[in-house]
Amino acid sequence: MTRLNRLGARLTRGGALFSAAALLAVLVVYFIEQPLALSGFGIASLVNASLALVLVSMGQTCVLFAGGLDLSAGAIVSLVCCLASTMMGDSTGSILLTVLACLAAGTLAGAVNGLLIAYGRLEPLISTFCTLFIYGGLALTLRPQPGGHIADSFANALTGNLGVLPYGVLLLALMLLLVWLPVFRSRLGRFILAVGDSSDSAFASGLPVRPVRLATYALSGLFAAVAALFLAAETTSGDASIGNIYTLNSLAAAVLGGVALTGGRGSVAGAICGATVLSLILNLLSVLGVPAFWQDLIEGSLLLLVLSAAGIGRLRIDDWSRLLGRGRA
Amino acid sequence: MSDVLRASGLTKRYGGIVALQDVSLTLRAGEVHALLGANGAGKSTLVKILSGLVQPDEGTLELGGEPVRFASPRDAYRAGVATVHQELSLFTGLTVAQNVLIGRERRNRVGWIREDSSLAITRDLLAQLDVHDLSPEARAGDLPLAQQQLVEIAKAMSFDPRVLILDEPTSALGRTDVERLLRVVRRLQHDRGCAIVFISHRMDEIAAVTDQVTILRSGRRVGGMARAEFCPDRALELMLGDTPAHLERLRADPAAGAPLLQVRGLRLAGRLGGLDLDVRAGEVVGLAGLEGQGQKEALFALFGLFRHGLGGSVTVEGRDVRARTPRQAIASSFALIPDDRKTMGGLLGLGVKQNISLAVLERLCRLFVIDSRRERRLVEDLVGRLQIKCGSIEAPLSSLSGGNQQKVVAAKWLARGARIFLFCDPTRGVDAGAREVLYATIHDLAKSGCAILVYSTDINEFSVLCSRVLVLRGGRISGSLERAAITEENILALSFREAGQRQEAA
Repeated sequence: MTRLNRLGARLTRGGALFSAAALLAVLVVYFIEQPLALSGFGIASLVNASLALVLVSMGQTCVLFAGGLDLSAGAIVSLVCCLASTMMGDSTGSILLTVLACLAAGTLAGAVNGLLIAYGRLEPLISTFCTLFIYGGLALTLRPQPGGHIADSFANALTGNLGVLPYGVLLLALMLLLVWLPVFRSRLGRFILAVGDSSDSAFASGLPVRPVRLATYALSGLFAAVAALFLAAETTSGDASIGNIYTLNSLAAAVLGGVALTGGRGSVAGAICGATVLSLILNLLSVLGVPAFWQDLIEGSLLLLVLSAAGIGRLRIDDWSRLLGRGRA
Repeated sequence: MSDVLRASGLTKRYGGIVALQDVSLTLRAGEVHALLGANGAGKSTLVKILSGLVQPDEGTLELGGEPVRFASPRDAYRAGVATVHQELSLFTGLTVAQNVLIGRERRNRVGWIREDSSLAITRDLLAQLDVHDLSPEARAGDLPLAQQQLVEIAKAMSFDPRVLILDEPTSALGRTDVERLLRVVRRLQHDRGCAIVFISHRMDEIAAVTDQVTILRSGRRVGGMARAEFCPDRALELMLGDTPAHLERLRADPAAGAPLLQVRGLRLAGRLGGLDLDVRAGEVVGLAGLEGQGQKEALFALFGLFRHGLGGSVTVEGRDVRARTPRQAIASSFALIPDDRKTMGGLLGLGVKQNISLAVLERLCRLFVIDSRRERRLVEDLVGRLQIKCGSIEAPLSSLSGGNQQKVVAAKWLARGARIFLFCDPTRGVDAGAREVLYATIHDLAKSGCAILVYSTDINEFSVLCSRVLVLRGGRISGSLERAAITEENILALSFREAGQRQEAA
């Protein structure tokens, strides 16, 4: 291996560490600029600003682990958000029913992606790009204009504080304990990583490759649904365009956190750090008064930078090597 | 001893090519059964069928007297047939223990994987294999090839298989590792009563461990021997079969004088270890040897397909022309006719005309517009010269037969004025009739003063095509043969030769 190769490998493997360091640096800049943010309220609002992206990125990470890609994650966020604002009444029963329906809808939307890709053998890039528009269109049909109703009790339950601890952190902890850990401590999680590492080897090892692929997309849908419920609580309304930014940002956050776009490598801690860093940077840009059109430009450039850094190792590989094959069957 | 697995009448076709025809095989408990055959004889296909990777078109499998069908590798594993594939199938990002037990991890009551038990089981399996220098917690991708191979074998053993298939398990191993592996094979055979399928190109290993040998050639079973009657020379004879006698040998004499192409110390990191060769105008030089010994890499490297890790010098008529891109190689009159026409050679959806004129469009242009009359004339001339059979020159390349597709690719480079032709397994997937026409084309190219390098996985072709053959082994030239000495026996002898074991056959 060449030196550059090893550097690339170290960058990928040290992704979580790298993004944690970046997180610290961004936080320092943030608190210097905004000393008020150091208060309990300030911290809570920072957490709330990043939580939706953290959740969507965790779902995206599941898909990336298995070597896939979910471009429809943002649209699922919009769809579920609109569904919540349409269904929800004020009674506890209605709220519970809505939450369950939303989680089911998000998971189902993800499962449809999974079916298309795992069983319909479509390319993840193109099929989730199509469902991005389908789910986005459904969201617009449900709610052509932003609005709708979100119960106050529901909004307070998700966005409030327990002392200095925002409920958002508890929600994240809950998702880690109830979804992430059980999945990645069980065979399913091992299979997800194996399929992403080499789907041919996974097949030859007798693993259920297609159900595993399907599961990753369903998980992505579930995480997007939870993010959507949180956004609905935060804005106390439904908006069909609220999820738009999450598709690209969730990918960027995962890569920033050291999750490999080629599958099989990365960590959830890295993805969470990556998502937090990215939200803080975006937040910082608006706090610093950078005009909106500059924000888009800086964000796009930042993503390119992160993606190129992750690709350093690949520059040294000859694309032609795979064509050497093995000759006659 | 009882029959564990009985395969009868297995036939497998890929498109029009018969990879395996009516092959039967019986595996008995406690017996090591070797499969012998040259490249493309059907060993891999047979292994793929037994391991559930592909399904046979005809034929049946019986396991312990019961008929079985393996629709996927999963079925095969469940039935107790475990395979160590030739191309390693490890997950490089997972640890040794995670690899060994993938899919069969012990779990606690809530379904979480018990990592401690995985480690213990793996340690135990490795100890059974007499491997003590391998940590179950190491990442598989960080291990050297020989250790990865051992991990694969541990993985196969963790299924506690009734049938264990080892597809060239020793090809990547050094002497001591091979001996260790053979000890393991014997132990599995005696202690566990496994039926073992053992594939190797090394006769000494086969003589050392096997009880039964089945010999395959061109997808058919051509013979079998029990341990007592095993004779390497007889086995080689069966593997080779008869040469098509009616095919004429190349007669043209290479031009005298300095070689057209001169290669010195061509090196490619990890694949080629310093290759020297000269090709004169009018000469056809073959690159022979077992598959994957660097022949393809040498041709690809000359054509500029590798940018990294390349060393050595390449000169054409004394000019230094080592290429780093195909564009440079083409500019110094190289032409590559690759084995895989779909991905590298031609544009299947476009017409014969577009394919041939592709490399010379700038010469056909008048004021940036392609002069279609000149294009047509050029293409029709070449189609006639190479006797390309096509409905019309507008017919899409995909509608042509394999041999004619190859000729279209060659015509493209002829139009460009290429003088050094690199044929990479040109008759792969080409039927017998088209082969002969392709041979004639190669001879004609040589007569017209081109220098030609041919790599083929069909060992019979070299005697027909070449005036000189270089046999490669492990990225180096292990011997060279000329004219009458170019026989299958001599090539195979050089291919299979253990370093320093036999004198040069020439």
